[in-house]
Amino acid sequence: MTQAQPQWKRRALVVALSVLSSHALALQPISDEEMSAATGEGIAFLPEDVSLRFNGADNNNGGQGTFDTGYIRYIPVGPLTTEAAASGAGKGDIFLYGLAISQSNQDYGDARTSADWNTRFGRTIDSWGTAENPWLLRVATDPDVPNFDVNDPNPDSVSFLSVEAPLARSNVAALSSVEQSAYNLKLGLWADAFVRDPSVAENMTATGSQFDLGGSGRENRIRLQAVWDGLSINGTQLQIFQTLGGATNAGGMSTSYNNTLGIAGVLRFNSGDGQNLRAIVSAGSATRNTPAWTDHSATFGCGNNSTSFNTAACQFRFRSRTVTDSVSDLNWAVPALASVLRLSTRETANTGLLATPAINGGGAPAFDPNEGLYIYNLNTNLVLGSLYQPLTVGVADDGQNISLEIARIPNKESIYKRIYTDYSGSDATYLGSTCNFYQCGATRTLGGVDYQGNTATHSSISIGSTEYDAITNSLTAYSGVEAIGVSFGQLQSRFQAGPFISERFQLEFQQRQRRDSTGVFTDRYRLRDDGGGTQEDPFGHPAGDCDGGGLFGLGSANCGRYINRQGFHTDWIYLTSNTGGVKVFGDAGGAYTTAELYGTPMPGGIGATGNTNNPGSPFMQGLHDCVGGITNNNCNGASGGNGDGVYGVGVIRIDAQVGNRSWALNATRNNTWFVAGSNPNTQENVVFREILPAFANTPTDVIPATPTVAINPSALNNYGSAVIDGLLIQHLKFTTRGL
Amino acid sequence: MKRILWLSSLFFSCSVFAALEPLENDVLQAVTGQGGADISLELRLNHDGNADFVCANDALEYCRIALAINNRNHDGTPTGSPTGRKQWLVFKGIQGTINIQEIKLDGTDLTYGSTVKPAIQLSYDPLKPILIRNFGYQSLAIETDTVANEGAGNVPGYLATGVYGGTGFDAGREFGFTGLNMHGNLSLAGTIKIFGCDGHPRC
Repeated sequence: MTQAQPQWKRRALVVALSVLSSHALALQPISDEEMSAATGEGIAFLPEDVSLRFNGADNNNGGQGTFDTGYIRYIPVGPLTTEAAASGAGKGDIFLYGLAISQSNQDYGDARTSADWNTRFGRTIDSWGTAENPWLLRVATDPDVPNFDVNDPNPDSVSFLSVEAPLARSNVAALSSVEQSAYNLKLGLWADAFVRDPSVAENMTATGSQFDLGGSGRENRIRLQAVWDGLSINGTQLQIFQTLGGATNAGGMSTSYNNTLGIAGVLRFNSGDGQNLRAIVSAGSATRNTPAWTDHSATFGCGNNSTSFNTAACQFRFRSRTVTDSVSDLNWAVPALASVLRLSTRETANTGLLATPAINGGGAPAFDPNEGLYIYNLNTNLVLGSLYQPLTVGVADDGQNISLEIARIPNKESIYKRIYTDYSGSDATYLGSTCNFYQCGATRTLGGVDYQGNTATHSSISIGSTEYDAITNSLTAYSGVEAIGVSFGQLQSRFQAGPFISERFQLEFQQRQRRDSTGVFTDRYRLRDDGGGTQEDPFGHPAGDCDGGGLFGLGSANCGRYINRQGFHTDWIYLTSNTGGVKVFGDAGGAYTTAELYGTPMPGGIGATGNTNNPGSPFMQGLHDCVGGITNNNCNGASGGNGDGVYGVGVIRIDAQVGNRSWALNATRNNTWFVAGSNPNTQENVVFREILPAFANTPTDVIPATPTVAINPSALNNYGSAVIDGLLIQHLKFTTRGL
Repeated sequence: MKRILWLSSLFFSCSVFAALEPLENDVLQAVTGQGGADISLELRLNHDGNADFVCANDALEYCRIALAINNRNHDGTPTGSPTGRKQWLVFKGIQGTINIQEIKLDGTDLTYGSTVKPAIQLSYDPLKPILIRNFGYQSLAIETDTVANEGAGNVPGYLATGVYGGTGFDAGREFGFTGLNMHGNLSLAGTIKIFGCDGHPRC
């Protein structure tokens, strides 16, 4: 059968469809001509008011049979492996009872109770899909599927038979209650699994000794109930097709991938949005004692204890206090649980430790309402293969055992770029994405309504409280005290009277940094030679001394000269912002306490004259070329004073401000304190503990916004949330053994 | 295999038409109402009327369904190679009785957008469940042809014989592993509307 080509499958479907269509023809006034065009490529199904329950093979309950005792049995034929036999193991004989698919008795999103998670059947499903979004059985052709041959760039066509559940909607809460029923399913079954003595023949009418492996009366049975109340399988699909060829036994590939039965599936079992699932934590009283700050008035250099202005690159000052929070009547309350998967084993009535309805008759057992493993809000979205990375079935080398294999992703760009994801988003040619509760590949719009797709390539499994990043489409487990997900036994609320006290060491700091400023100005001076010789340039200006100028050396001469000077100034600039450890220094107020700065002669300006007199900030003036109150012409060398020309080189004046060294110069500087975080490796935390060793073992705490104590308020049986996200199956192979 | 499937599909079809037969097409063409039919169907595969297995111990190999998947030869060669012996997935001891007590068959209209579609409506009564009795297979095995490329003298994998000897659970069972057996009343409720997907945005 499976050798059949896709064309055959399509013919069969068309035949089937035409058979079905003929009924429609008989029942509705549609002409033959219209029907002949209506062959279509698939059949749609819309189940309404449906439920399924596998009851016992009898006439109880008005003909339905004894509830939940119909079974599917896995018959353990075949000898044990040598290892299993040597270890004393028996055969595993499994009866799955009472498989039931229905709708929860609670409405969508409402809280579940033990009456829900301890029953296997609810009510009928109002509408499993809609006319716009039905179940489908269809045949289609994808004309653009790359084969396994890395050297063949041309895609081929693959025809596939597909079974598709209705597509998933995103905002289920906004749907009608009828549509919501498909997101409110209930799945139930229970099982008896026996350890069977291989040496005893089967007896389906009495227990006898067939389960007495290891001694008579041993409890060689596990009785297990599984109930999932509140789930949806919308978006699930399964494709069956013939794989393409081109694979060789090189590069990790296998010729067994070629032209054989291929399967691809997207399996979606979703409970609900884990972003909204949080326990409710409250306290009867919560107080905080916040004492006055203790100032650590000394200032400290960075990384050492120098306070010298010349050697300290920066300085801190600190203040600290111990904040005491006290909380009483701490309450952790279970939120409304709209989806619960529960696995339980404890019966409330002993029906015989080796009894089972298939052999001994009787009804389904009653289970303890609150025992077992609880999994809340489980969202499982599994992508198993695709048309270009199929799941194939094969035979192990021994010719006896079965293997299931999801083909290795070939080293072929046209395939792996459809599968891999570029999480940075910078390379749009990588088309892969993750299938999770929120999306599953490209969104499909049908009749103006958006549905989640089913083209994603990566799987995602989440349990309980989650956080979702829509930009990267990634899920993480929520880790706060409100997180829930797994519990052993029914999740309990928890009350703790207290009072509970937590003390936290709070540290704040201010910081300033040394700022070096330089400014260059050109100082102009004049040498005057009143005759009789040469006036020597005291600075050795390259243009030379002032040489007479008058006839025979008589008269006078004014020789213009200039020289470049550099001013150097140091002051403090204060921290004004500390965001995420990125420090910004923006307050230099109160700078320039020195009025006059002596410059250092600079080379340059050869032969030039000029009157540039504009030193850079913070220097204000360069005109005051002279020292000691000599001003104006005396200083520019124009005239006056003894020995004209010896003046002219002086100082730079800057504004005379005060207070740059004062931490308390103004309110902004004085009152702005920065929080030292809990990271012990930040500059402020390191400096603080080097300078004040008494605090070496007192780590800095983060003070919560509200009074909080270091007591876990969560229920003792709460095991929190979990997420596996972005799971890509690169290559997977299961092989049975010992058959 | 293919023949078996075709035969069974013919069988299904015949039963369905049997219920509808008395109505002529030209009569139906004018009917717009929701006249329907009740279908009941009992299927037995290798069972007698008591849902007991009927295959003789010396002819168990004729109570099977086997699948050969394309390109699954014992030596890894593709189907049709001169050296490859075909491997079969053999469901041994296939059997079952399925009694569909009642399915109501009606016609109805289905509307999506502005489209009105004729649809078949199947209705199930939970008080008249589908009776499934010992449906399944006794063991599952991979069996290999004895001659390459189904040549002369080949014993196909699906006719391979052999049972476990000795005493105990496996004694007398055909070689293989995990069997499967379904037994119970499958109680279905509700309706299923079936319609052609042609023109539907999902297709």
